[in-house]
Amino acid sequence: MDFELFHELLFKTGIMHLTVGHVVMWLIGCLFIFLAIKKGFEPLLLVPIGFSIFLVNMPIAPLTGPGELINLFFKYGLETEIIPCLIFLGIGALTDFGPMIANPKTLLLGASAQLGVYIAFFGSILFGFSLKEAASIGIIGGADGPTTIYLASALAPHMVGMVAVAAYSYMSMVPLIQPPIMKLLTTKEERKIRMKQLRPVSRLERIVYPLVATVVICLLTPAAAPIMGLFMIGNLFRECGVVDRLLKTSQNELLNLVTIILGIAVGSTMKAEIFLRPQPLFIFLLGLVAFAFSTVAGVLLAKIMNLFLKEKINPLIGSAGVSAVPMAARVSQKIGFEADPQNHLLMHAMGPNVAGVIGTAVAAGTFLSLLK
Amino acid sequence: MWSEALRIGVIGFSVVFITLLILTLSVKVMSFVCKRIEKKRSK
Repeated sequence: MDFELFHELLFKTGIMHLTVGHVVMWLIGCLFIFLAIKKGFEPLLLVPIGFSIFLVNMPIAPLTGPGELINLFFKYGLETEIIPCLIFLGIGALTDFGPMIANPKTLLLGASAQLGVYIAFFGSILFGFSLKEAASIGIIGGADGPTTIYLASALAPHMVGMVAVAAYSYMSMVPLIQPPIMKLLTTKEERKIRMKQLRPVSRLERIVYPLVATVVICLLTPAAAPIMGLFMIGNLFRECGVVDRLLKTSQNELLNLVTIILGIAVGSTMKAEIFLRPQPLFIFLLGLVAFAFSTVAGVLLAKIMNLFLKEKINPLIGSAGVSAVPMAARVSQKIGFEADPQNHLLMHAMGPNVAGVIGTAVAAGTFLSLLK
Repeated sequence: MWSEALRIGVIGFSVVFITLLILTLSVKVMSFVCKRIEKKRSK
């Protein structure tokens, strides 16, 4: 009798349900936490994602079943797509569109840098993924975490964790991935091109811009309206100058709160039985392909534009079209600075950088309207 | 599946490019109009 009770008790602990897969996932969770703390790779996301991976791989813990805590975060935060949209509100409140308004042709660099999205889309189909899964993988090439999560949670919810982690990993590795490609595609003379200082942008232009952009984007790509709409509301908060409280909340408390829930919800999709298959390896490989092609396309379009422009643009700013704000712009500045220490490209690169965010959102909207 | 994928790829990339091209032109027009308004105001 006592032995039976002991046996029953033992089976109610997690120990008897522990598998090698769980332990491997703990190590992966710890790796993410290590990369965030020690290497500084996207710590605001990798810490909650890493711990969530650790937590949801505790056997028989009531966390991810129907109606359980983390399942609720996922269900109401990601499945309803509320959280990625709220993140966009916060990002909008932090984004300065001034460099892009001053030099609007840089928007085209943001468009061309979406080429990698479609190359990885085709590559994913080649690897046997369905169209919806391929779109969710391809969008990693846009290097925009919230858009990737937004699209994947709508088209392939079972892959949200994998694509989100791939997207954020590559975003944090922008300074490693992009420079060799940028140097390979440009001559030293091209890297030395100095661009004219950007004109000052008036307050009126800054206030009108979110309204104009909303009209254009929502009319042409209605499926991108939720993310772009909130992005532009956040930006209007920033530029109008009369809603300081809303602006501060959007930039700080709201953004921080939704980031915590996003991290936990994304990490919760990485359970051993889902993650420990060959699929994630393919996703990481295809994500790298997407990222590399997006960088190539951005730089090459800048070079092509130079054939027609009177005032040349430095092709290094083309690589910033992959979003990853502001890291990709900083990489352009750094490589330009190495070629000519008097050349300051940061503000010029911010134009394609924010244009890339819009480009990726439009690409996601198009996938949604064609596949959902 | 491949023909459907090709259709999505071509439409998708074209829509991205056209949307951002139209946005470029719209920003140019917006800046022009804003400058005119500000010039009138300063007079």
